[in-house]
Amino acid sequence: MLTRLVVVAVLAAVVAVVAWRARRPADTTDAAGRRVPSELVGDTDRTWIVFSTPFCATCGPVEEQLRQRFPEHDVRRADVEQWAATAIDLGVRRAPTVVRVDRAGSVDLVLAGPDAVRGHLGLAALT
Amino acid sequence: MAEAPTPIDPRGPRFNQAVLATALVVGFLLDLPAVAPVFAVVLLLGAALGPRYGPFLRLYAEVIKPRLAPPTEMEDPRPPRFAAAVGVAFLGSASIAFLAGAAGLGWALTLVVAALAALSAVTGLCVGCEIYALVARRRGLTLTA
Repeated sequence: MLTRLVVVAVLAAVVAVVAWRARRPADTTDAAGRRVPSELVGDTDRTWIVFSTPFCATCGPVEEQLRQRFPEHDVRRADVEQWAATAIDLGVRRAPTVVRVDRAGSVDLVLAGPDAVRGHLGLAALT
Repeated sequence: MAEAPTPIDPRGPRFNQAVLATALVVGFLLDLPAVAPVFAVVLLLGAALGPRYGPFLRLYAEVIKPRLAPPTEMEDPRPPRFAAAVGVAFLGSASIAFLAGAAGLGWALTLVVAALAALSAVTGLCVGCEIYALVARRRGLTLTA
């Protein structure tokens, strides 16, 4: 029994270490002021770029909420694999991460994760 | 391309994984090899037939979820189902090992499942789901909901 307890303790320690290293990043990044490629920038005063992945189930609702809330702005979807260099430069580690840029492509707002977007838009839920 | 399935509350699979990890560890501590085939069947029901047939997925959906706030994130159901299928393969192999008298191998396979299930339950990092994601990307499969 003691041996088994030791095995379980070691297993728990390994899981704890991996869990610590894999913990979620904060909901914001320090990307403000950086620029995104012109292909991602629309013709409006502000463009919302939704960085997504093929498995992101909340990216679609987030994109739709942004379109409804900001009809005067362009809303675009960017797959993080297709735009890997940009995503890395902006510190994108969660999907969706929403980036708002001006006409020049300069980032002035970054919202990482659906909770951050929900909080910014004052929504109760994105489901 | 097949139509994308309805997204699910990711807390359901995580609850399932928490129960799985706990049961497998308790089974190991008490030297109960039957825990492997029993939970192989539990996982198989959810993976093959859907969440309605997974006992703990159904427990979450009918008893626990109504008492919680709405989920803030949803996920594609296919990666966790694939992960459950991987768990079935491991626990099935463990069951065969136990039957063949190779208890050490049986427990090793069982504890691999327990560790991965615990990791997924605690962090949401689902290794089986990541494997599915890799395969899906190579096939050009889009799973966005």
